[in-house]
Amino acid sequence: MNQLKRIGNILAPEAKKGDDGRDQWGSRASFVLAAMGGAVGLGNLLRFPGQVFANNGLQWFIPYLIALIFLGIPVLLLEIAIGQAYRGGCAIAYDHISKRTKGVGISVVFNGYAVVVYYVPILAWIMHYFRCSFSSPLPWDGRGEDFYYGDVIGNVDPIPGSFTGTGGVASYASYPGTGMVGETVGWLAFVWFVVWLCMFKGMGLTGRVVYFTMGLPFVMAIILIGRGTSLENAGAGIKLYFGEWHSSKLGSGQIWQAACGQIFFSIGVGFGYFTSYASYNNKYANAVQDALIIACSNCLYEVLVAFSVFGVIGHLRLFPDEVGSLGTFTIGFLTYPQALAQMPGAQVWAVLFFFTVMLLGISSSFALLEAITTLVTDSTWGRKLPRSIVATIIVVISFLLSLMYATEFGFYLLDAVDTWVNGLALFFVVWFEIVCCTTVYRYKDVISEVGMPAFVIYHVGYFGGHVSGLAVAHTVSAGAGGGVGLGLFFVGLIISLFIAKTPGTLAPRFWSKNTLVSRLWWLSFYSVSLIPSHPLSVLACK
Amino acid sequence: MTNPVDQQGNQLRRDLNATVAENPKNWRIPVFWAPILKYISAPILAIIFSFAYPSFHALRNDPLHIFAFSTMHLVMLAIAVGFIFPRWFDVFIPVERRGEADGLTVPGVTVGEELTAQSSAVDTGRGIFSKEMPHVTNYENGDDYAVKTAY
Repeated sequence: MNQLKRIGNILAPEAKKGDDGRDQWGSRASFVLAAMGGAVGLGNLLRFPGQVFANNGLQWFIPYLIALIFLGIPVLLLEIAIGQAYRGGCAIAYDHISKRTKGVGISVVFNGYAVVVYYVPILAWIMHYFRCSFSSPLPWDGRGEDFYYGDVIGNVDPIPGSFTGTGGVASYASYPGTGMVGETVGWLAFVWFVVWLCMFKGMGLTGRVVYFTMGLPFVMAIILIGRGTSLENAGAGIKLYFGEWHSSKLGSGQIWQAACGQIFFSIGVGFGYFTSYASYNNKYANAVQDALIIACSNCLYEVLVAFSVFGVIGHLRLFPDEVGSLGTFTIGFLTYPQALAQMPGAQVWAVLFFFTVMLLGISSSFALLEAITTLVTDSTWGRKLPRSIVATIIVVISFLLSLMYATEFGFYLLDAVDTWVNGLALFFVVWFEIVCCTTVYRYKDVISEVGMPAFVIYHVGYFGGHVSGLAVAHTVSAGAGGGVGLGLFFVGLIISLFIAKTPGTLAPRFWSKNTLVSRLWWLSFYSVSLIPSHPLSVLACK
Repeated sequence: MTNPVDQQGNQLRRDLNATVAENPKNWRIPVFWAPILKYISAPILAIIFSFAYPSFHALRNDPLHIFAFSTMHLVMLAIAVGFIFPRWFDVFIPVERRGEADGLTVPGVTVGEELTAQSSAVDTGRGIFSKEMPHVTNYENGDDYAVKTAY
């Protein structure tokens, strides 16, 4: 028995402890790899090529890089920094911003959890493909769609609803299938078990697992790129990706929206795992550098692997003008398997491909699950239980919840939940994260300097500008919306500048030379500037 | 004794030099980070978010989409509840760490700064926004509150 325990401890060591008794990553590399494992997932391998395919050409990288710099990296840095400095999961971190913003932390956890519950069923379908990769000929050869929709997903076709002429609902869509899909349930249990194995023991074990789950996909990526780009006619596909320039596409809003969405989903902010993982960091770790490393390698991974996918696209002679757009599921479950089936040694490549997708998916899954696990183990009642018990309970509950996606309407349910987590909850929550950290944080200081009326009017302008600008943009035109939004912001700014008290405390540097400028400082920049000087000072000092 | 920023800046500078000089290799968060978040990232996110409602309109006869769309509004409920009744979510905060944000009340003073600054010499008057960053001391021990009580 002792022998067994000893072997267990070698394989799954207890995590190191920080000075305050909190678990800590074994090394900086463990943290960076784990966070990268969360960031690099199905979105990189499958979603990215689909987005580029719809907006093909080098001009794609202009909105993409702009979104990375102005959206991806700043938000990622925020999440990592607060987790690390406040040494707590999402709830504690946002409680530290203000006692009234705890709800933001809770909703971040909710987002991450909602995603992991449908993410694992997608991996269950991947496992179905993985199993079939061992048979010869590959069962989807020549019948890709049949195999995917019929054998793997096994859903009964829905009966679409309809609208009346006046815009009312004439009939609701209905889903006749109500049974369970046996094989999906089985793989679901298996994948949840693997996820549990990777995270139940905490950072000591996870810190080791990530060397494997992140290291191998990097090696596989190189192999897949080599194979994809050496296919017959691969050049035509790569030309679509890297050899064309369509400046006219930059004029449409669609490419910008796609780029922002891609950066956002692929880095994976707003799901709570960066904050949770960073809370197990050394308090004085180099957060800014870590954030840059994670964001850049995440993007590099998808940009490079896309060469492989575009090689396949060229090989299959799929061109955007003819086939329209490719969704996440299409590339992973239809396009790529189809190409695999045509290669010599198809089984080997199929096994390699689905194994890579699986590893990427697993490392994202246990990252996503970490947000809720940390939430529980941080709390006074949750820490009375050992982490392994908490992890087990959470995994069992999650398995039961995810069974709803293993039903004969599960695919459609998954699609619906995926649409609205990513389209609604995620953007709302991250917007709120930013607002809390730049507006609510230490707001009393600003009120005491410039007075309540000025503070209120400034923010009526800021928030009113957002809300009314968007309302006008949707009902009238985008230009008018922008005008109204900015106009309201500046009206609020100017009124608040004139009614503000003269700040008693000096603003830094040139901001203090003139009364109006000093008021401007306190109203617009104080809370945003304090943040870098506070938690971030912890990070900058060592 | 002139204005408060002076003394604090002095103390901060001293704290800082003692710590930052120890490992100057760590990168600092740049000055432009926070304004980017508030004035660029936030509006972009709000714009993308606003597409959600028009796109739901086309799917409003599908029960699964209605279920998912309404469930996702729970995040708004959670944020609102947390804002109006902050104590309801205290169950997720360990007892000894509750109310950590309450101590942050002195304008321009960095959290956790030791108030021995009160007695220190008035020096150059460089505020917390000068290049040097303050060292945050005894942070976990609840010394945040020192700032509040000392004033």
